Amino acid sequence: MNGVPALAYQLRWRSRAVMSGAHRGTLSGPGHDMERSVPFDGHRDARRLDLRASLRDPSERMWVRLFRQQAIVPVVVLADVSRSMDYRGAAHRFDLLVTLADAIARAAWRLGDPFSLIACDESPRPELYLPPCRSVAGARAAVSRLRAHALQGRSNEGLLKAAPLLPRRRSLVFLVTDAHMPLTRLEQVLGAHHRHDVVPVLLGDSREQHASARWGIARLRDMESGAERLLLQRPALAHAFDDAEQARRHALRRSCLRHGRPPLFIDDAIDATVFNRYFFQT
Amino acid sequence: MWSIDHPFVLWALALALAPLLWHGQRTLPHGWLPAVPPDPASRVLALALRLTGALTVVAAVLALSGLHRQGSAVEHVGTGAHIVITIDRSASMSDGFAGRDAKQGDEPKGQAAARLLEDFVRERPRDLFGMVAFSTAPVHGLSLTADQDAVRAAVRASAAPGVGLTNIAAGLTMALEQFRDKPVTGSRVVLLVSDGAARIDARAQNQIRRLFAENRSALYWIFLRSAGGRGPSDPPDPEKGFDPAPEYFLNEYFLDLGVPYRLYEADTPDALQRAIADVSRLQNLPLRYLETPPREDLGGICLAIALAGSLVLLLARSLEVSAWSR
Repeated sequence: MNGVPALAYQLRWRSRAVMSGAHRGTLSGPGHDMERSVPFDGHRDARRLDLRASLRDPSERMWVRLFRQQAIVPVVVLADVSRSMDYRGAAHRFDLLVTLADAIARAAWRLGDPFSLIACDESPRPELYLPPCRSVAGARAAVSRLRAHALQGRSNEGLLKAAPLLPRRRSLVFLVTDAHMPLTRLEQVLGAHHRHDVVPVLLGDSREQHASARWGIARLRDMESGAERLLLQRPALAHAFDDAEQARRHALRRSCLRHGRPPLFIDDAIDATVFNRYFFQT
Repeated sequence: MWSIDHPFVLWALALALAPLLWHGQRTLPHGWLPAVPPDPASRVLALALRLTGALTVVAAVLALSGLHRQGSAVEHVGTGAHIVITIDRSASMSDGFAGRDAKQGDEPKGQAAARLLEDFVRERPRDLFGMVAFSTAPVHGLSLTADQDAVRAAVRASAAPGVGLTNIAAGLTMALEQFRDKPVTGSRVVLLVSDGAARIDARAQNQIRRLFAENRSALYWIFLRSAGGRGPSDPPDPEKGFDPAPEYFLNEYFLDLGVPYRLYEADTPDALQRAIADVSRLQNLPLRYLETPPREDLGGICLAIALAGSLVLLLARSLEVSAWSR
């Protein structure tokens, strides 16, 4: 447990799952989520007598309350494992991804939700795939497989092909990526999983996104395409970097909001407070 | 004209491609370059560094190959002539002049001639001078040269007392040989300084005539009259019996050569000076000649460029950062 942040999520929509769980569901059954009151005649359950409704009834019938059953929600971590995730700046981005997947797996297990892991680079990696699974051991094995994975992918196009691997029911999907892809592809990915509740978790790195204001010469090499660019570090370039980053975040936010949820930016380290607050605010 | 001492070194110019193909810089991984804002200054810098590298290699290779500039021969137009001083060094040149005020202990003719000729040479820095001395046999002094010091030294040396007879034909032949195979870039003059004459036989006459025609040379004869001697302008006097008068006949022969010819009779140093001044004036015609400038070694400049380029690259190297955004 040490080092793994305690994350928690909660949803505003009702799960249609049959299995009971921790989230609000749509099926009637034992629970705390009152659906309606019905005459006692049909539902002879004196424990759930609705005194207020019974007293209010002019024909002096007895009423009982009907509740909805709590249900499970499958939790899917849709992870981008292209080579740019190997970036080591203020933190090792891939470490961040594995830690986050681990923390989400534990959070899902605490709530009894099935956990699924899908890792994609150019295509979904079958050896890293974990179908929805409620066992701790399964999730733990999948996370350790992910941790041992050597990143090779030149792109994250596989995120577009992951839809068939996701559960058919509406699930909570954490799309964990560094968003190092064209905005159109991000929107395509979000659109491909529109039936799910997709939380775009965008991993950033303060060192990657900022330039030093001190004078210097740096030659950057793109980890995925191998392209290179020489940059003359100077205060003007640092400003340009900051502006570009701000504009990019703004564009990412707009794109994600168009598909339902604002992005959750995680920079350098996972802050459980920020993560948990995100679900209160959205 | 640019030229190179060791052309095979130029194969190393292929090394100049290396900075264009490889940058040799440390690369820092970055997640996604398209997100990096475009920066024209950096683009220019990247290109400039590569070109600097290539330029440095090119400059170093050129320096190694011994690049130099061999200026093409520049054609100058000067007032001058090719003058072969043909000076008589017979024994009689040690005698004094024949002027009215001549007396014992005067400057010998040879020394006066040498002194005045030296001034003459000094005043004409653009002329080419040759030097032939003759007495019984001709002595080759100097080929045609612009080296003033050498010419003056040769003229001074001719003042030393001479020996022997006056063999004009051999002296003239050698003087005219000086012009052989030289381009005709200005007027040519044979300046004959003598104090006597000799009969030139028919064969030598023909040869000299042919040489003058071939070389298109003018002839100035400065005749230094000896005391009691006769001049070329004195016709032979049948009253006096047998009178060979070689000077007179030589003058006649020269007049008949068909080339510009002038006779100066000098019986005092002043008259000699006037004669030389007259020659000097006559020969102030434009002269075209080629001057080959010394080669200009460009290796130093190339090395300076290479050094400057290397320093720039070194500076760029030292500015390289070890980690992005630290």
